[in-house]
Amino acid sequence: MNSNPILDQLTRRAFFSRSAVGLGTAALATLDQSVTAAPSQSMNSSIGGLTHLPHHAPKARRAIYLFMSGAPSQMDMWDHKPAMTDWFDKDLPDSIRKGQRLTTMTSGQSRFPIAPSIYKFSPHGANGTMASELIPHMAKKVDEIALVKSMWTEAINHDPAITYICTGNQLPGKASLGSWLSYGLGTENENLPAFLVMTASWTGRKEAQALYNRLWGSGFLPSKYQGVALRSSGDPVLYLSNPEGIDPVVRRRMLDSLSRLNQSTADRIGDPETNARIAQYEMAFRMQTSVPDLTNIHDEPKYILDMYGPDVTKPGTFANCCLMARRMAERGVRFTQIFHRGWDQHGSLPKDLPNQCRDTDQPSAALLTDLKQRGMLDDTLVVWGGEFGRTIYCQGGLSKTNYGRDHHPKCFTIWMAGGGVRAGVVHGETDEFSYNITRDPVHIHDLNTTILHLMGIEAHKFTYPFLGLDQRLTGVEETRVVSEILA
Amino acid sequence: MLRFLFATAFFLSLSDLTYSESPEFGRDVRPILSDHCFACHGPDEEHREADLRLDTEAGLLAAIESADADTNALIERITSDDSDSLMPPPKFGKPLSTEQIDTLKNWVRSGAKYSEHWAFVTPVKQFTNEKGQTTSADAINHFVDDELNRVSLKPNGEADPRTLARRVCFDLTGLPPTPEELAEFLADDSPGAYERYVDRLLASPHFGEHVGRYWLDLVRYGDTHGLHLDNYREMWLYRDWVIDAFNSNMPMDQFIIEQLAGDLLPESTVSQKVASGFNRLNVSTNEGGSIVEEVAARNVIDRTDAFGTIFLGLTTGCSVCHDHKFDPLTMKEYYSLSAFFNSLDGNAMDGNIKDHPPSLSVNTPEQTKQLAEFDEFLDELRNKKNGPITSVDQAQDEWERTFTSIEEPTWTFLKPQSATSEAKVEMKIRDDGGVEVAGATAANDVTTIVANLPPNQPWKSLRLEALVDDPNSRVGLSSNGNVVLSEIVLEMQHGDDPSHWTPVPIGNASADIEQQNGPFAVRFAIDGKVNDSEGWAVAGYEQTGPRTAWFDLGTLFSETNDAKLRVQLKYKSKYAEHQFRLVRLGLSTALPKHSKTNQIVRGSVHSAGPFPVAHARNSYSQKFASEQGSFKAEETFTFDGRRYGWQLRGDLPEVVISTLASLAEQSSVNVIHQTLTAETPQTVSLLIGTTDGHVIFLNGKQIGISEGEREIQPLEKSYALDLKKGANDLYVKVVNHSGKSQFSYALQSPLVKVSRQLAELLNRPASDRSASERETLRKYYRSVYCTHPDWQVLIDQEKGTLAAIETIRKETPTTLIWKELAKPRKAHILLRGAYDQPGEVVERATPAFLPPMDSSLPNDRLGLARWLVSDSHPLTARVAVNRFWQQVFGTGLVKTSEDFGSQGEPPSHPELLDWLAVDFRENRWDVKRLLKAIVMSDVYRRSSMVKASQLRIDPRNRLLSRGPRFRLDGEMLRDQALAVSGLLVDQLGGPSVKPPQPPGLWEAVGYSGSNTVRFTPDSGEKIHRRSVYIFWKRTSAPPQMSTFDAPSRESCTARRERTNTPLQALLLMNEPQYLAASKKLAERVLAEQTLPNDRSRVEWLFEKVTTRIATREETDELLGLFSDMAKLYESQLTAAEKLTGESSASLAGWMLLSSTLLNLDEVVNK
Repeated sequence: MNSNPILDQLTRRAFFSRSAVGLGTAALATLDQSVTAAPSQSMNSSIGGLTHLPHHAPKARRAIYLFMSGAPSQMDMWDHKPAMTDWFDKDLPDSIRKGQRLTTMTSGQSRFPIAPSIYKFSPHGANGTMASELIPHMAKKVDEIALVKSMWTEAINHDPAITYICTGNQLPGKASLGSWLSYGLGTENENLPAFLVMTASWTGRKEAQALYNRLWGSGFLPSKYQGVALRSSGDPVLYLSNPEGIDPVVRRRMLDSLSRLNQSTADRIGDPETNARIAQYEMAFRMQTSVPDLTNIHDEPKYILDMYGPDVTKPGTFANCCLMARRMAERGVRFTQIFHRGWDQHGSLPKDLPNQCRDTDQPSAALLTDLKQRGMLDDTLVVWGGEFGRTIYCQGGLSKTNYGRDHHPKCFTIWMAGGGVRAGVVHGETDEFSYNITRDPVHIHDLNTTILHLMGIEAHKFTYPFLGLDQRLTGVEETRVVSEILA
Repeated sequence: MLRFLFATAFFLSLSDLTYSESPEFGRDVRPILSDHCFACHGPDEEHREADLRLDTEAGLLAAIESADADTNALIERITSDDSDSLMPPPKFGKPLSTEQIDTLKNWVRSGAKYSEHWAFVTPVKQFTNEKGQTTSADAINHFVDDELNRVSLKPNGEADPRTLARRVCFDLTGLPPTPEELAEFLADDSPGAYERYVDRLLASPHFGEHVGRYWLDLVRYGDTHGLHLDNYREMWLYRDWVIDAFNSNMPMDQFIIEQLAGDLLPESTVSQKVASGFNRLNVSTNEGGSIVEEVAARNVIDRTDAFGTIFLGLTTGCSVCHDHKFDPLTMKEYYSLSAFFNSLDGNAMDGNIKDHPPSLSVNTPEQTKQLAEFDEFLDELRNKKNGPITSVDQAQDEWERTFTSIEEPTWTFLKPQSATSEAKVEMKIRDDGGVEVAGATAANDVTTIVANLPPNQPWKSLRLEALVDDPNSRVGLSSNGNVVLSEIVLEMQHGDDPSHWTPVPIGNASADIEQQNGPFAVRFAIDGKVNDSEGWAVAGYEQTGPRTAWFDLGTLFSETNDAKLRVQLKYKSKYAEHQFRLVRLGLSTALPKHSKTNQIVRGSVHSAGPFPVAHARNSYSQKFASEQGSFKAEETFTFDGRRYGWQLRGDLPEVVISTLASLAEQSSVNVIHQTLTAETPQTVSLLIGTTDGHVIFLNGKQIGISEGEREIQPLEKSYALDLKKGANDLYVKVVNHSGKSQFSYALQSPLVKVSRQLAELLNRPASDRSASERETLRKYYRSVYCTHPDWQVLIDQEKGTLAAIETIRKETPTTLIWKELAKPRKAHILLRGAYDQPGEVVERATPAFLPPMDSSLPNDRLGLARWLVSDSHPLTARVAVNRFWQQVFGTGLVKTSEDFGSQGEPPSHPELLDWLAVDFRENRWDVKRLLKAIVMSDVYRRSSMVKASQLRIDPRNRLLSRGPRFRLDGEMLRDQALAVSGLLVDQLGGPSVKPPQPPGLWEAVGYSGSNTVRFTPDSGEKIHRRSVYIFWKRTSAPPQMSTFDAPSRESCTARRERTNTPLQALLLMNEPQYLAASKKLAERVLAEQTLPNDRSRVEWLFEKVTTRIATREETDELLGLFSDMAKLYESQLTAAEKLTGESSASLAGWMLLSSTLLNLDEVVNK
């Protein structure tokens, strides 16, 4: 290629024009008036974000949220209920159910026979935390995570519940957690979006619950704060690749002319948005390099790949997404969310749940190890969990080896690890039926409040005016930071 | 005012201001009180602290005991040093700034003048110019310039004609001007040229497409349900209604009335019903497990909030859980308002279907005409079918004669004249008539056997024997000995024309052995379909020995010796060589009689009912008796407080018409049960006719439904009953809407023993039968046994017509509409907004802070709509006018166009807003007139050049010293690229279209069972339609639009954000349709014969894309780009070919140049 004089010339020109790029970047930071450039006194190198944020020194500079869509069964994974063995096929006592509302999938059932978990649990870590045989890798991590067994929500069906935990409201139209963070804190890498989302493949029940763009949407916030979906096939970011027949040299040459023409427009008309546009084209050009660099895992050493398990090289698997999440964290992506579907085990739980756990267990543990090895776990928050829990009683046919579980909003288990989280703690308790919370309930708003807190934000002060209200991720009611699980 | 606007340029940071002049209450003071005080001292009674209220005059004045700013209570509390006494309380987290405190102090000092919230006061016109005749354009110029004068900002002069031509064309049609439109405008230098140009644009059908699009954002129009499965919802007729309404310049008041209450208008038209679909645009769900009352309550809240946002510009949603904290809307008033929207005559759950009732099918005039013709033809056909047909009646006589003498049939073996193989395999005819495969078997084959049809005998059945020479051999040729007969086809030749073969329909088939592990029953060999996965499979791998199948022919008769029968045995299974080795065919004049073990035994008939029901149409889905469960004769059912049991019915014979019990003046339901016991799994047909609707259940599963009442047609419908081995529960639910409940049924299969009653009837001489018995017997014969060609012709015609009707029905678009329950549902306050905590019952009513509804108006949506557009209503016209202003200028006079309440931003030009609102209303809510006034104003026509002084004083151009210039919406950008390149297909209306989008977007989020989980792009013209027609999946909006801030259409959106991101740059550079447009431009410039050189080509392209003439510098820059590119591609022709599909460096160069033009800032902007 270098023997081609025209190409040489073009490449030189491209190189030359790249020096003008810095101007564009500066223009971006100063001309965009709805946000302002990061204050120089800020503790990190954020770009964009609100001047008065963070409210306090953050423990975590970035977060990775492993979202198990469909609601994992807490009593088959984390919430060990040995007494249930003797309750096999006996009815859930009314004193436990307390007339609580049910989904219409089981509200017509004539009885609510208890289905004890068929999985073996064993103690792990310094405190003997119980974990089931389905999650052997995470079981070894109990001393590094904070397990919360007392999560609860009001919503009883998937669509409202997942919208609720992801955007703070059961109805569509609100801003998602990641877009709030992106709006408030900006990005640490101007060449990548601040909020990236991956939707992983899964091997459990194929009839999986849907996801919705609103789960990472920006709602009432400007759309530039919405999560950018990183895709496992095709362009990782929409329209990232030049079409066939346009290589970077051509693109650069085209952008040079475009910049000059736009600059003359800026000079002639004087609209500051034109300068911002010039900068955005330059950023687009840089993303064409930075994103493929992010997704190209060939430079990962074998021992890292092995740690995430055999699926890691298959694009779109949860293992692959976890490795990608670490690479994003390294590059300063503020918030990464992986949605893994297929956890909605209404029937044949023993057939599907092991597959779901196999998808996620080793990669989740590997992600923690990997971050730790790089010294990044200290300022990276990792959250694992779904939108609600599942019932101890059986939905559909019950046998010694087969059962299903309905939705259960009154308790479920999540874990958090990394930046600012107290390692090795188990927070909250449920009754022997894993039905009611008996100690330290944590509402999903409190979870989001805690996540914001760790990122340096006080939830009740973090508002955006819309429809006459100071909108908050955590709603209008008072919420609390779950300080018991903080380091 | 200046300072205020300057401040609003930064988000709501009114607190940064100091006022030296006396603050105005509505503009300066109320916003502070609202944002910092109302939450605890506002309209919400429940949470009002210290009984202090600051949102009313009385309350506020009470808080300012004296006009001394330093001693009165209000000022004292907001300036207190004592943190216990300081207001707002520090823990509230919203302290007042020094400037805000100063504003409040100054306001008190200057006399503490109070005024009602501006938006709730009826607007008045407060300006006439010297001429006495003020046009709206005059008023716009006056009020805007007044304000500019006050801050000493000099307005720009008029934009140059080309810029203006492009700007106004975009604002009125969403498209750039065509070269012809531009040329016509530029060539017209007489006075009024611009106005004439504007008039032409207003008359363009693209006006409605463009202006309507903003409305579609606002009302959250989408092509899917929005929640959970997010399946297809057919609603585009509503979208087209909106476009039409704007194109025909429907007055805005009528536009509002028809949407809110089109269904309630006297003798409402189809179009008005379509408009009422407005009330159905909320997202809906059918998620398994949902609690219907909860979903219903949410839907009502969604509609009420939409009403608030769209028409009132108010955030009613706050009052779902408590009295509004900022605006005077109580919780009770909220639920009174919601009561207008709670009585939909339909299910809250959407059923995941596209036409979730109530919905409407709307035929095109052509379809309506065709349907009428088909209906007429069907009537004729049915009359013929029901009347005497000599030839058919003779055949019936023959049938009746032979019927009584059913005996073991004797079989006449066919003597084949020829036996051939499609695969050219050698065939051998044996002496006994058997046909044997003699050569090497082919993977697939068709055996064709032709034999003489023995004359003068009424042949009724054909027997196919698959023989083996040794009982331990297997019948098949395949390695495992199995066979799949995909299809058997019979044809007859009457002997007069040797080339003419008439198909012989096979009425029924049975076999001694059928495989049960798939579609392998013998009926799959007579279903008219030949495919590789179905057919009669004989379990040859399991059992050795022969197989037999019987086929029911009706009556096959020939009077000549020359008639022939042709039998084709088609072996097309995916399993290779699954063919019989040796077959023999026989005919019989009797129906086949099978061993007892094969027969189906009918149990006794029971019935339960009549169950009284309020609405017959709801009974189809309601459960009665044990219709979906197992049958217990002694079981009883409690219904509506009464007990019902099963009654044994010996009086419901097959075939004849029976009458069921019904109720006088009330709809009712009967359930009938019969147990059918089969020795082998098999399929029989249930023929049934009812005066009523019916639902058929077999073994707990619904297998058929027919809704609505009709004249009885005995044995009218046919349902296939797939019987399992053993006892089968057959239930028929008969839904009687009104009048008599009549019923006739029969089972059709050679394996069903003829019922006792039927045998009796046939044994009776015809003269002893009643008229009704004669009629139904004829029906029975014709439906079950008759295969006479004259009859068959009628059946074929009927089937063909029905198929044609069905095709039209499928093509007929449907749309969701509103239908009100006859009796409105009771409305309650929902405590804390919870559906299961109903509080006080509330009546429909409008909020008290707005003018009352005229008592002459009906207390329903129609009354509500008329109230909205009444002269005294302070909000409707203001809100509407403000949105049109926002459309054109990018920001409304009230920036928060969704919130005119006290938390919203006050208007930048309040008198102008009021003037325009009153003028709009006084002039019949004429939308085109309003938009014309706006674009005719000097303010609009200003150049958009930005001077440093303007940028400093008014960066966001709220004072309008310069013309509007901002980024085009995604729709306009895409339409522009298609239009300037010549790709745009500007056809109006119709189903939504799917231009290509990157694969996998829907799959990544979709529920696997959703019918929108996979995106399949359209092709042809559809992909080049305007963007307003793009299919909008609400959980995954089209990326070409959402990247440019288009909303998801899940909730109401009164204004879009306008961001500027790298993802937008990537899209404009790389999205395939923008590239296609670039390529098309390149092709066109190369085809343009008049252009002598590259320079002129650059100029041509530049003008096409920008509407402007390029400067010398611009042309030079682009020429440089082109020549670099052309040179580069010359050396890399493969790259050029990859890009353009042609090995042409020049085409690639022009394409890249065109793409550059489409990315220019001035092209991306208005």
